[in-house]
Amino acid sequence: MTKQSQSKRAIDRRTALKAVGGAGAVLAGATATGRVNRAFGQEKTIQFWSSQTSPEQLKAYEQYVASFEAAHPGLKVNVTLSGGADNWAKLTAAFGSGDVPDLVAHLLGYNVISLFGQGLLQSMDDVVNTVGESDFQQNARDIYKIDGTYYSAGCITNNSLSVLWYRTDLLEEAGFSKAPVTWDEMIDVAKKTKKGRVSGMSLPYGKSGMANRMVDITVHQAGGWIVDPDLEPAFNSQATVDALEFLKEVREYCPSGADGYSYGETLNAFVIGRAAMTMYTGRTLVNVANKNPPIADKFTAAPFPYMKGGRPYWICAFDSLFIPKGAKNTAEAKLFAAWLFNKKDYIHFLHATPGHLLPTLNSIAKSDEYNDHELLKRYKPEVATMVETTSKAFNFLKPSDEHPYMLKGGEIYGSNVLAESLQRVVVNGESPKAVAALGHDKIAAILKG
Amino acid sequence: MNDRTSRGAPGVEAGVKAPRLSLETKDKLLGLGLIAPSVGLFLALIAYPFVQSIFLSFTETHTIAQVSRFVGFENYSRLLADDDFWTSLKNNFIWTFFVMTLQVALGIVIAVMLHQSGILFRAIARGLVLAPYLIPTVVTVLVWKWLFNDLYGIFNNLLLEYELVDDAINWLGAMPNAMISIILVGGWKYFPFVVIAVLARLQTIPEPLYEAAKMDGAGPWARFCDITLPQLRGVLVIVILLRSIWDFKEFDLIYLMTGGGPVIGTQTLSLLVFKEAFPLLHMGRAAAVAMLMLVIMLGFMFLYFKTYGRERVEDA
Repeated sequence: MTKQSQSKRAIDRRTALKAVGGAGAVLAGATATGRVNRAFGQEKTIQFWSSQTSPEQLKAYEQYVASFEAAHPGLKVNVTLSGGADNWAKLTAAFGSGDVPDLVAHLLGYNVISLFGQGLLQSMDDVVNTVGESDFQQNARDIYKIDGTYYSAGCITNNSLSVLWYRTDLLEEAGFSKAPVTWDEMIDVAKKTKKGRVSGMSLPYGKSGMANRMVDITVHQAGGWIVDPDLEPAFNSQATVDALEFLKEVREYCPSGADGYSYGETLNAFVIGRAAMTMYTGRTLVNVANKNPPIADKFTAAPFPYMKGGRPYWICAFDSLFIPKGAKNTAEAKLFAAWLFNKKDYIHFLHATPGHLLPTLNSIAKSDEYNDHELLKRYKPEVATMVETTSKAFNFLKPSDEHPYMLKGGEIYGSNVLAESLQRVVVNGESPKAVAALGHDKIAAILKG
Repeated sequence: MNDRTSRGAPGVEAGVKAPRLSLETKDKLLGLGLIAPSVGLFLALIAYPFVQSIFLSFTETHTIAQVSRFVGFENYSRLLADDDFWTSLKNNFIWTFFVMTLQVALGIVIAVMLHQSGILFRAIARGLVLAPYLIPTVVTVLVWKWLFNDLYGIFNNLLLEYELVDDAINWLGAMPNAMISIILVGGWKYFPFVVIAVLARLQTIPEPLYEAAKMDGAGPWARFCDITLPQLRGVLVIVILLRSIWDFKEFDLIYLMTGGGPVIGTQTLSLLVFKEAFPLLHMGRAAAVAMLMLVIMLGFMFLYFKTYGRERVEDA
């Protein structure tokens, strides 16, 4: 080997090492800044979070992803599911660390408004226009339109949270031919249908989001506010006392463990035939039909009763669809957000939990494809009741038309002050009046910050 | 001439010798180099978050927006004036004391049983006894919530079947049932740790001690009290202190079982930290609670190191 060739080889090795090192550094830098895809023409991955977590819904998401990726070469979607209170904690941590997902679906309205209050949401006008602004149901669309901008692509689905499910056979046995409309009627039904190991009612008295909702609904049904339209605390009122006393009275006709009930237990008591009535979402349909067929034709739904002299008041979820500020793939996330409304996959997703999540696009709600589902056909009147109740419903993010957005609504719900107030009265036996005053102070402290 | 010789080392070319490091300096540098990764990791993973937490506790910081302002001791004074804090602290001590006592009692009893040579399938039993410790907390909670359920739980069904109660017991929705229930579950989940530690120590107790005691007429109970327990003292002190620290900061089991309810009947300081940080979005206040927890746990640590040091001296 000549000196020249040795010299050349030495130079080559160093050059090669430098090249490898340099390439490594470029790759590391590019990857860290998320530019690797653009630099090399590789695929981008959209980070999509949803709080709908059932196995059927996961399959539906897989269908969404498959069709989207097939139609958009170079784009991938990574679906992360986390339900319950968990999703808010995870999202909060994501914002804290600055590593937010590209698209979030089904976060509850009052949490979305907390993010809006901190300026952490991006405009979704493009998505709403792509899907078709006029196709959205009005209240589901306008709830997230603030100062002319949509901060969520309408609500992706809706979910009736204040429907009374009741056993027609048990009510008939007890001498009732129709659903109770007022609280007094409901207590009467609960009292007369409680027999042996079957309770008159199943309601959630455990420390959970569902108990918060129950207090939220009943205080408003009694004619009061938790926070008034001037955003002042209004919990210390006769309406709150009435609501707490009503819930305490109903508790007598609930299963003995109801003080620990959250979503699952409340529904299960009804599904297994151990309660004549319950308050739940449309998931009741599929659960009863699949798990307890003998009673599948012996139950129906009505709007949750309200206080005589109070106000008819119901709430719904207004499941959101938004892009957080700081998302790395905003344009791609908007594409996928619009894709979530494509007829075929949207209907498939809605059918994953038939009746539980309701469509928010008029074209879908009225379509034969959506309505051509065994359970939706079988329970047509019940679905109609849910749609009707939902169309008149509010949410704690904006408890009435007179209210401005409740930027602290998420904190009030999250603090469990409403559920704790209920438990103080029902479990601890404290006076509703004193509890209303205590809850009022706690809400005032939260509003004050 | 190749590249290297044509350019040459700058020092050589200039005719100046590079300063040579002494062996001692080289050793020091090597030592520093070797320890640097550990120090770096310590600083990044422990020191920085710790200092950051202390700093956070003196600020009002919004968890999501990360906007903060210095508020001095306001978070601490607010906490100390808050009834919820004192209730949570009281709950924390009740939970820690009883769950730890249950674990130690169960752990000793089962370890002694597993130490007996006559026990059938001893190897399998020793393996199986670890199961509760290995099962993820979320699974543990789901199983126990099922067992406690008033409508289809086995406990209530048995009680009702044998007419021991008129109505199903509300295990998780009333006090003190909820606290008793989570203590039972916590005791069940963590007692295997005690079993492992005690069993290891039991195997090192010299057999002649028991033989001598037998010859002196000591029965099983006397042998347990006068030989086994004194021999276990060292390991038990360490186990109790470690478990106290771990139980004191338990979060997931309690949160998933009761959410801190009814009202705040089972809310401990860890749950209060979570409540302040996430639902209420007050990261500064959450950090202040965490700092107060740290102070209490430092007390446990102090006891641990003091006892551990004494044990080592005694062993020596």
